[in-house]
Amino acid sequence: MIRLNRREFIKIIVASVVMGTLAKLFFRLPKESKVVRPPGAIVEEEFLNKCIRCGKCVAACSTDGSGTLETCGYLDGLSLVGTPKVNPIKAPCEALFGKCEGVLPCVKACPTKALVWVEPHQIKLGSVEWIKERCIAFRKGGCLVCYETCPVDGAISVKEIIVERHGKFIKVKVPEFNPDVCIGCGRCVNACPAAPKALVLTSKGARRVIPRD
Amino acid sequence: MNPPQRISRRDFIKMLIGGAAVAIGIGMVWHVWERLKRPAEIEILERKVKENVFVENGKPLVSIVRGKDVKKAVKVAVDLLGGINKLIKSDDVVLLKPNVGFSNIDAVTTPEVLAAVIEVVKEANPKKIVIAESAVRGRDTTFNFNATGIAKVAEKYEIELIDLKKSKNVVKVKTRGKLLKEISTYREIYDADVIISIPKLKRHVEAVTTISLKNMMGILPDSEKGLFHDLNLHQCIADLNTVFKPDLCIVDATHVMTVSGPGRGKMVKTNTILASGDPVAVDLIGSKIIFELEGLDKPLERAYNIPYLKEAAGLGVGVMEVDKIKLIEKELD
Repeated sequence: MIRLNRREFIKIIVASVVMGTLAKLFFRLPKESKVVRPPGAIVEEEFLNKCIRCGKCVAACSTDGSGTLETCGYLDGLSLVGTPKVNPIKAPCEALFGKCEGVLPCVKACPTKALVWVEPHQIKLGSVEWIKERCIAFRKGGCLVCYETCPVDGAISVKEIIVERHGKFIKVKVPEFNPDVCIGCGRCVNACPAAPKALVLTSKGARRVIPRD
Repeated sequence: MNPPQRISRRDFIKMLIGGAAVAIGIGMVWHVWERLKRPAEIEILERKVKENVFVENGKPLVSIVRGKDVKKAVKVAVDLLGGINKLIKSDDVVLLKPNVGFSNIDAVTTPEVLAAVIEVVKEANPKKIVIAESAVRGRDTTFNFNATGIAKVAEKYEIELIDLKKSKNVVKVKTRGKLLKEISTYREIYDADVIISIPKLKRHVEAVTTISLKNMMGILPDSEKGLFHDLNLHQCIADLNTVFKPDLCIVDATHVMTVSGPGRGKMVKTNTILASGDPVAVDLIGSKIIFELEGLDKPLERAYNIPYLKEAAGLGVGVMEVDKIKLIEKELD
């Protein structure tokens, strides 16, 4: 029997609380994905089980696709490290209205069926969040490059609003986003000329595949 | 052999701190060194803009030809100006700049129009013909070439098709503009002797209309296009055209995108081709046509109020008074 004095006992208690908190911070198993997954990704929990972090989808994307895919790093959460995510700042996903439509090199490269074949009309990677304070159209009028480049009819529309700028009321045309119609391809995010970007691609509303087996 | 030397805790910590300090020191020196190494100075090039060769008694000519036969319409439109030989010499490199910003056929220059222009240009036997484009931000140019049939046309006539977004030869060129004193573009564009803008007649959400002047934005890297939108699109379009002014504009108005654009709009079939050596004049007439098709009142006045036209005319890119332009209209059967 090991006898501990009070000081040592308290040390152990404090150390375990610290370790526990750290573990909780790093070893989260998310039910919903924080990152935007490639087209054909199965539901997140299953995805994390099936994905072997081989990086073949990322490689296929960079050679045959648009090059949007990259692997998650430690900042995305320890349990996600090595899994693929869509980075619209590198390039938009071309799975719909683009060169990967009906081809999906990332899905074809997946050896474990973490990514499975989906028909083009079923693809919805997520939706776009508008940070209006950064938006050129909202700040001073003009731009609307997001509306210009959007390939989906009705995902981005233009509306006229009146805002106060430097004590004067001015009419500006701003983009309006419809998250239900948006397919989350990220073309608008890629195109947004504001720095930092006024648009962020999120996994909100993503349509994930339920695996059959 | 000596027994392994034991170091005290104090020494061990000292060594750790010492090691870290050395590492940080090396890092800082490295950082400063990298900062001091200036990137190679990019030379700012100059470009001479040609005078409009398609004029009559000092008035720029604008031809409007209506006819279902696209090939014939393009040929007649250029001939009405005085013929392609007035512009192109045998040692010229000719750049064809269609609008292939999108992948849907409504929003791009019709391949038949591009083919007709190639046939007209080939008559003058230039040294080289190239087709170049950098699609709208967020869009893949090569995909657009393939999806719209532009790639097939280039293949058929064995003409080099350049996806500028894949090029790394960025150069800076001096402008005679107000806001932008220099512009980044590609070496492939700078090397061209003659620029032919082949836009589609379209509405534009921000620029009001997009015709031959706005079409020139497709010679820019994406970063430069972003800058245009952030600064002042209309002024920047005018500034760009002070140095990369098309020498000939052949406007595809076979199908016109009205009401909204540039990606999607209400398409109206008009079977028209416009041609001119003056981009401002042809854009004025083209804008007027769009407003007429939309049934708006005072179409000409609306066209006069388009900021990029006013700025471009002010910078001497072209003429925007309708009575200083000579219109030649022709109906083909």
